[in-house]
Amino acid sequence: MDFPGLTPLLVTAQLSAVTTLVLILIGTPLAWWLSFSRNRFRPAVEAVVAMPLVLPPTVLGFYLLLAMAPDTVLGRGWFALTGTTLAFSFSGLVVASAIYSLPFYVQPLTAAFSRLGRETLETAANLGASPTATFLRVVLPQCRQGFVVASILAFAHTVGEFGVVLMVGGNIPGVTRVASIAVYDHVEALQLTEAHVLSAILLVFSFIVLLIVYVYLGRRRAMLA
Amino acid sequence: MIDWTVEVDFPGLALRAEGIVGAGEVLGIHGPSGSGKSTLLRILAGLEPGARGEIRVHGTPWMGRDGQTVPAYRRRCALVAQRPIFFDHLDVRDNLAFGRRRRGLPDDARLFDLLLDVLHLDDLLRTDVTRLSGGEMQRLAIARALYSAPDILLLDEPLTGLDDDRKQRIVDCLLRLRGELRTPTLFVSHHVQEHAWMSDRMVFVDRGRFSESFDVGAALRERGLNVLDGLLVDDDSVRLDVDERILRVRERPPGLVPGDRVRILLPAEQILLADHSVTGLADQALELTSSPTRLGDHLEASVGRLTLVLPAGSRGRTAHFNLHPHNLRRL
Repeated sequence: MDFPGLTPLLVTAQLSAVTTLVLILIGTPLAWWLSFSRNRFRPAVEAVVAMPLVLPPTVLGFYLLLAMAPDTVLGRGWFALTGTTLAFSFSGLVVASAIYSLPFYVQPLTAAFSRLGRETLETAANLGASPTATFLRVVLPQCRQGFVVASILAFAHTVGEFGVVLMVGGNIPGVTRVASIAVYDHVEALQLTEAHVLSAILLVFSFIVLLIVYVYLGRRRAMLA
Repeated sequence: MIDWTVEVDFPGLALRAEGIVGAGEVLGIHGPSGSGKSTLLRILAGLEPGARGEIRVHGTPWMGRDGQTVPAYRRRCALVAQRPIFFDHLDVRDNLAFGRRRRGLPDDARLFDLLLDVLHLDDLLRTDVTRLSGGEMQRLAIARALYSAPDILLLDEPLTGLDDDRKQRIVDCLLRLRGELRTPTLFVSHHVQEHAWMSDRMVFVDRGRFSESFDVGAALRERGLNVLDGLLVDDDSVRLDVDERILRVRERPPGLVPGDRVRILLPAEQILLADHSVTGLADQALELTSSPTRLGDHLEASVGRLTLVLPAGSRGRTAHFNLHPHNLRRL
């Protein structure tokens, strides 16, 4: 790579993209369940999903690190499956990021599904739409905004994490050393130029992402008004 | 044809219902709010997972005693809800065709045009579904339901929240379509008047208990309303089905033509009982062939094979009345 100083940005981008993909696959059914289930344990699940919003990232990272140790169920299972350890690996980072960013994906999408309402699903079923057809032809187009906002927030929030990745990732250059940690390291080492470059890129990126979200939301609102 | 024996238990509602509706028939379901009318429709549509019992449509089981049920999306039954929901990412035309396409049926231009015409939807095709008025939504919901070629039509208070003029127009549409499509229909309403317009037979519901079904004439006589079906034979006379008697009408109601099936709605209070026929008093003078007996708040008596409900507290041997255009409805 021509700019070794930018490698952490590449790791961050990869991590955020993979995490967002994982969240789309796992978080979508979870948001669906939270919107439409009448299960009495739903509030408990909602609370668990929201936990990363309140917990200090270091606390979450600490527990995740313990859970990923090679002698735990998770650690052993992962080793049996892949032959590698979960802690201090990119995969471990993805698991940690997915959990850390879970509420940022699930909550907007749950809200979108709930706005859609059970009656809409019943209407589709009554008109002969199978569950798959209902999802593809009614839910997806009607909740497009929810999906876009949820995915962007999940991506952006993963870009911004620090504490969890520091605990779980172990700061291995090119593998788990993401941009936010690199900035910290540069400042510690008084490499202020490098810190400036990375920070400025993250700053501009964050602003653009949020700008896109709000312009998009604003246009949707204007269309509905 | 559909027949059912179903039950469901909710907190505060134990629903037990059985019934049957044939081709071209409208079964009216009457009862107060919360008595289980809508719930029965939802059970038939497969939208109440807790329901038990049997449902058969043209002999095919939709729900069986063994717990087997056909999922909602495989039941060809169209429910027109009180507040219909449309998909606002689709235009009116695609909303209308949604059900038919999901069932994999080819477009039917003749039926499409018939529905547009009868339900006056032509002008709406280019409208945004979020901008429809209450009456427009009901008409579109009815069109969407019928275009999906249902085996059964379920109407849940489809006239609620509409003014009388719009109600009349939608009832006219429904009756015309019933004649064309002959889809067995369950019609839920808590307005006696609407049943008098629409229903052939009626069931009464109270706190989840469904009565047996009554002929709409017998059911509404108990509520002081005579319902007489017949044929408009010329501009000013109706031949009744029950005894081929001809009744005079003051003038032909607008929109009806000789040859139309009509329903006469005559409130008991519009009949005057006198001791003998008084020439010039009224167009109709029917001599009673039985002594009046009490029927709820009113009296009931026979005129040959015809049964009339009469105002309470009156005496006499002859029923006098006039028929005005507003007493007649297309059937």
